[in-house]
Amino acid sequence: MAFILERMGIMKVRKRNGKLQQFNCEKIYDAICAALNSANVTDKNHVAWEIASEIKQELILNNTKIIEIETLQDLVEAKLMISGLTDVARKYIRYRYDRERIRQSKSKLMIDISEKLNATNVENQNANLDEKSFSGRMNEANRVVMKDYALYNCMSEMARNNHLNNEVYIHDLDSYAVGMHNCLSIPFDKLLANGFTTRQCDVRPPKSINTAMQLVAVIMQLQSLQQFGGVSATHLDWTMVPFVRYSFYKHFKNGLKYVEEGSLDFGKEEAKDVSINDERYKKYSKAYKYAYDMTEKETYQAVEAMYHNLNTLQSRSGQQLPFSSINYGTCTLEEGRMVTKALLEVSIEGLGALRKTPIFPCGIFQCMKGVNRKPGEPNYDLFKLALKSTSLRLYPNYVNVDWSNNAGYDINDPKTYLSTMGCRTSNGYDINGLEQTKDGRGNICPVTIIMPTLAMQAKGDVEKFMELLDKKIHEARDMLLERFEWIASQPASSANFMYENNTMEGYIPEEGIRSALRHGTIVIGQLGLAETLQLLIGKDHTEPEGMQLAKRIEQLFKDRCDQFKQQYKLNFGVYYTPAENLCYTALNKFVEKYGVIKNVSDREFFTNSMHVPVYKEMTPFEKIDIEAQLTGYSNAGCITYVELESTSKHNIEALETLVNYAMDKDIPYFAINIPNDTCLKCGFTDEFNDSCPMCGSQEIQQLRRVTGYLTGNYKTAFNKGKIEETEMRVKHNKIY
Amino acid sequence: MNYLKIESSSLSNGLGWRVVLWVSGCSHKCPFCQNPETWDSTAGKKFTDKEKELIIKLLKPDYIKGLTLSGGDPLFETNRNDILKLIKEIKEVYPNKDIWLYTGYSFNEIKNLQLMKYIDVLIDGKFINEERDITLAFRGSVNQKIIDVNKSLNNNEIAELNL
Repeated sequence: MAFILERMGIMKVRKRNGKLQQFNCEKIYDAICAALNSANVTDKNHVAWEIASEIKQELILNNTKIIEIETLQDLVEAKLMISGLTDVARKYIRYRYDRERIRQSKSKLMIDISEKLNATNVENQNANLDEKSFSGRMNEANRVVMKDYALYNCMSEMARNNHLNNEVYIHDLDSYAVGMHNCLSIPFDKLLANGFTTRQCDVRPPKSINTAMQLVAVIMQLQSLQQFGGVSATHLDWTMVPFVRYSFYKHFKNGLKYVEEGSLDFGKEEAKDVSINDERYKKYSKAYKYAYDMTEKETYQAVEAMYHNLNTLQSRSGQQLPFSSINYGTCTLEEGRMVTKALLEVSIEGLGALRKTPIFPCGIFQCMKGVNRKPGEPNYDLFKLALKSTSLRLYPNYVNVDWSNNAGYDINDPKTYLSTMGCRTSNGYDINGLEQTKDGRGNICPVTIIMPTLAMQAKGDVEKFMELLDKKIHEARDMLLERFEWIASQPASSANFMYENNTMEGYIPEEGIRSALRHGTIVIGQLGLAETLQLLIGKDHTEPEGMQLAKRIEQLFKDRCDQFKQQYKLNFGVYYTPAENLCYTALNKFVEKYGVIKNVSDREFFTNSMHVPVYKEMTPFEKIDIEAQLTGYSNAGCITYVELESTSKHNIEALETLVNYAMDKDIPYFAINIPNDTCLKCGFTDEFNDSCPMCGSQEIQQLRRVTGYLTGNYKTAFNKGKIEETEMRVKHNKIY
Repeated sequence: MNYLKIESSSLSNGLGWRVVLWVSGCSHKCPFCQNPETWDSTAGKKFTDKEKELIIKLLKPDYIKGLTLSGGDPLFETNRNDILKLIKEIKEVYPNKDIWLYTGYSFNEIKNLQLMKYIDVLIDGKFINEERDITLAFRGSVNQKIIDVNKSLNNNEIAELNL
């Protein structure tokens, strides 16, 4: 009977995937042979067949119809032990264990992929990305594979261990393997003057402000596909001067045709060098007035259209918008002022039917002494307009052209004025010849040292910590060099738009893309200074003793980066990391290992870089005083925030005092956070509790800032750590 | 006089950055008042020289534009003497810092008080819920006015600040 069962294929084995397979004695035989082979047993075929047969007999006698694969293997193990073949048994166990491990790692990867593909594990690692959308799911699944691939195929064991051990974090690991770089300040002056080529066509230089503004959005989109980070315009008001002039010329010619008779002694091509205030225009006062009004209108509409484009052209998977930033505010020419005014007015006006706050671009107003800071200065009115926009729309942020670390810039060249990528990244002095020029440069790649982990390893001993930190800064250097060379080894054909149009400056085809990349920065970031100080001395840098140690730590970062920069002739820099996802994931890993420690890991996030913790009560001026003591150590990007009430829209004067205070304290990049809640029924914008105070609707969008940028409704777009961090932000004020 | 709290740097209670003193005691008791806990003149702590010194210290930085008195009502009968003493001294120490005062009285009811000459800006009138408008600057209902005190007293006509 039993024999018949087997022969008829009725005895089955249940495999790990749940499928049933016909029992086959030869498979057991093969598995035992494999174990015997490595155990030097003589007469192995005989032994193996004997054991396999015995097992089969037993199963038949027990009338087994279905046996689990694991049970079957247990039987083999037991048989080998009983037969006195302990050595073979050990090999067999080992073989089983190895197979199991491979299976598990494969299935872990598959589970991760499946979670991402089905959006069952939405982490909101990047608030700009919709992890639930089709392309977002595809992208997230892809990231899982790319990260795994990069960790085990593209880097040294040292780098991998630092990353996995929560010591030195490798940012944008999913973009590591393909060898993309991070971000870029686009040289718009050049691209718009010369035109550019894409894969499918070439684009002529624009001849009006309208076209030029649309090409800005197009170029930002194209460039953002060549990299994983943001794109910026460093001085858009200056950049647009010739195009405002072309438009003015066009409207003036119409004026001469329809409004007032007259003639000009120059043509359209020369118009770009003729001020719109030139006497040759002004002598025809009616045509002049007509042309001026039309140009102003066109500029406004051009900017408005650009805003729409930058908020609608979802150009990367996950329906992301390019992380776009626009710096402006220093051009005192009539044409440039017109552009700045339009940029601010469109920001204030808002987008769409409800006039919602634009998410992109991140506007950055460039504060400059003698230009726009004080009453009587030529662009002071624009500074006031910028403050109004900030009070209503959070943007613009403020960058300090007079920052001491940007010394050596050329007052006659706005390309050298301090500008930032919205998040905070900025291009410091280039050791490879471009000096303070910002255009055509960007960050190539960052790493971040997770300092609280090091403080735990040092067991709270300050000297031991400093030693360990120094060691990790050196390892961070090597990790950056590793990745830099990996990126530099990519062919230019991976990013044709970038290298054919030289959006990244300095590319020499014979030398490979390293020739361009070397002008960019490679930066060492940091996470959790506040928590680190708590671990080391029980107080943070809001107290003098904490500040003293903070300065010692920052000095070490700075000294080492300066030294590496000279030694390797690459732009190493100190970076005050934004840590959007990392603030949360690093904390979780830390808690897994070290548990919850008061004032260190008792929240859902580590404090970003060297910031004063968001829950510390102090005045905005005190916060600036503290952070101003540390911003000078960073040359690759940092930001200082304060939190204000929405009533600030009635108090532009207070905002002016505050921004000026920050600039006078040598803060390089300053941003003001004001709750921005919009009713999705009536459009009213202010700070709400849970419903609109105007119409009572509970359909509201709560916009908050994350890492320098704004992104959607914070309760759905932010990760858990950032949500808690946002909710713990105290309004800066001190109450007695 | 009792007080509830002193804010070191507020931008919600008058132009520029301001120190705000919230005093206890109010006779108006407007329906839907935001701070009914301030009506009782015995609420909070006693305002002493220590608090006065604190206010003088907080006013010192250049970025602080002035002092705002709110409450409660700084012009509640039993508060008036203490308020007069306080703002007189503050004007002596800081002649260039301005003083704003919130009261439930109307301008005409209190314009002859001695302390008015030390006040730069007065926000007058009860809070009337039917006239509530959350888009207004620095005040709750439309009937409340932001008054340039000096100009109003000189011209004998209420001069409002356009905010």
